[in-house]
Amino acid sequence: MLHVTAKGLADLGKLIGGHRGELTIILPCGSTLHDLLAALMERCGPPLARRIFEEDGLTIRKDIRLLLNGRDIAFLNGLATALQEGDHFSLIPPLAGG
Amino acid sequence: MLQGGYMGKILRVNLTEQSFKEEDTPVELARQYIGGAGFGIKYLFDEVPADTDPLGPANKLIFAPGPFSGTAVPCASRIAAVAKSPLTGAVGMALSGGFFPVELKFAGYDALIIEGKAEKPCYLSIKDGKVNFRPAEQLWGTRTFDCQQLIKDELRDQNTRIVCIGPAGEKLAKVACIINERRAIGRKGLGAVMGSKNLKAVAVRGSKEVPVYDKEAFRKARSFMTKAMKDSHALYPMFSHIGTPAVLDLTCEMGIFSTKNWSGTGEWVPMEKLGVESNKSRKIGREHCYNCPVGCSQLKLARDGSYAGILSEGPEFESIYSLGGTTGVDNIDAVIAADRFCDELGLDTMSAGVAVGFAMELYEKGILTKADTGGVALHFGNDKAMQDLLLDMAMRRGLGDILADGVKAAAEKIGKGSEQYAMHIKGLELPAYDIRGAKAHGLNYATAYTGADHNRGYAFQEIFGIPVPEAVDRFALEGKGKLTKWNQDVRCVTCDCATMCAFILDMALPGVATQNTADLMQSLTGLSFTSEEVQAVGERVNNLARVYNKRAGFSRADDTFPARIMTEPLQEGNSKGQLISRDDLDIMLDEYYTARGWTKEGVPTPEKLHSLGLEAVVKYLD
Repeated sequence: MLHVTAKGLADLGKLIGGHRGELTIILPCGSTLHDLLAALMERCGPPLARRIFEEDGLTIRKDIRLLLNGRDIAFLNGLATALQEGDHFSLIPPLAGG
Repeated sequence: MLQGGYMGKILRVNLTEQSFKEEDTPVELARQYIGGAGFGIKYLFDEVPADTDPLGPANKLIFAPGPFSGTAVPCASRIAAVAKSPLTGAVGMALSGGFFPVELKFAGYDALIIEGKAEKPCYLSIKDGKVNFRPAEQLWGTRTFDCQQLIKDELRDQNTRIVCIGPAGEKLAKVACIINERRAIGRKGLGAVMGSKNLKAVAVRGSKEVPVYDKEAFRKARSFMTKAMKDSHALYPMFSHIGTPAVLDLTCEMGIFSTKNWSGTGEWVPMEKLGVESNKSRKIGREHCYNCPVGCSQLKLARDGSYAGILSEGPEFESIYSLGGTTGVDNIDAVIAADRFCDELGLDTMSAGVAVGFAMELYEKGILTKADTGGVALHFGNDKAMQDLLLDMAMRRGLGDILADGVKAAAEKIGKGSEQYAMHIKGLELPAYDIRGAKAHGLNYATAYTGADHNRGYAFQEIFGIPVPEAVDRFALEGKGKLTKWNQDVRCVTCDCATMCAFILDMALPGVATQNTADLMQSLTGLSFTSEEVQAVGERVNNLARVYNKRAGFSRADDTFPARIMTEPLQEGNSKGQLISRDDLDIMLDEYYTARGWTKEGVPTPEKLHSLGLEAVVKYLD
């Protein structure tokens, strides 16, 4: 089994819950980011799904940023990226300023 | 003749002679430089030789709002201050919002040029074309908030708008800023330039209106912008309610929030104690700049311990970094108090905080001892010592006297290998983002004409993931030279010259910022601009500043990083393993210079200068 963490920032943290917006998810070996997202949706329910996905329920909203170990998943293998033990997944809403 | 947006006059004040005169705002200046930083740098280039002593009477201090300041354009009432920087020796430019910028426009001016040095401390009172030189001996030594109130009382006008310096600027601390009500024209030591001129403050009051060339077209152009703002998911409700501290949580999550003088990034991560939730717990209200519907600035009240009851507008993200992250102080109340303290003393929170963090690391390493610190155990996290050291910097006492000139000069005085811990580029202390995990952001630090300055070419693609002009991998090197040129040119013209708030560019107008500026310029001023011509203004200003800095002795060798960035990979967090080696930097610099049309040594070519209408500058290349 794989132990991965998922953390949401700002309102996504509140929707994910856990300790300060961070959950540990246990998945079978060979799981992908797609599997992790599915597990998160099952655990956190429709409010998170509505925030993450477009109305079709399949497409990630353009303004939601997903990072795996700090790297935008667009520069990995997208949702097909295979997970490793200890990976950290970040869900980030539109944030700017500073 | 200018037909809108501009007031048509530039006020030139000579403190030595206690004289002033009005000059027409040249149409060609508006067309070529738009305003703000563009105006300031053009005057600096033409009138202040590059070998000028920054703290001598020959340096000039130029305040320039933009054409949109004081109009119905939202979030554009800002002002640039420009001088040769005493901290870096390069072009010094910093911006601020609030209400002073529009008041200068309402008083009738597109810029204020301050020359010479007053024999005794004075302040300027400007009211609708009348200029008074008023004695300021009674104000000398006052803190900035007291100073402003005393001037308002003296002028019997509580609505006059004021910029002033505190004790730090008077004592020529090179990390001194100019305070603009409760905000700051913060960086590059411009407060010391004011102090060197015996100028305590400038008070402005005006009643004129900014003319509009084509009201209907202007209304349409403005509507486009306001709609983009309303549609922005980043601006509303998030940024409007949270403000800049949201970026602390973001950069902590990305592993690039710099801590403990950049020795602890990714390892010591104070998100819980200094981040959004902590700041929200101290928030008691919001502040808006003139004609800004967003109101990102947060009023915070320290609540616990000896800091309870201290109020500050801020601290913003960068000040939380410098007074909290880099000093290892994770007490939000101490950071709020230090932010207020810096504002009162007239210290740049960023440079001053980084200087404290630098001294703390030297103490931890044994390079500084209690013999140097007056018996203080200057460990990371010692918040009381931080407050004392800030005061000593402003008053130029003890170790504070050494740090008051910035970490570069301080390291040269202290020696003993301290240079490797001095986090600066071209003498300007580093901002919050640990660039080992954001390469284009780093390349901007290395090449910005003001030194390590995130605002000159902010890589929002890397930090916020905004895919404009295209999505980028923050850890990759390829393409970052070209991207940095684009970021610097667009930011320069749409924010620094047009004096538009950069947050609007990032959150509402990415990809359309130059067209937005062109449409507003054409309808407001009658000056015809295409999007490409707008961007060319940014490129022109960046090239002019580069030639100025070359004349001042800067070269490719100065487009570099502190050794730590190039030799110490990040040890923990979501940027673990990242660094920018010397070879990495050279790869990016070569690409950047090529994109800019500069030589391999980073010097603009005559052909490039000709293409930008800078023929007159070519003679300065030799």
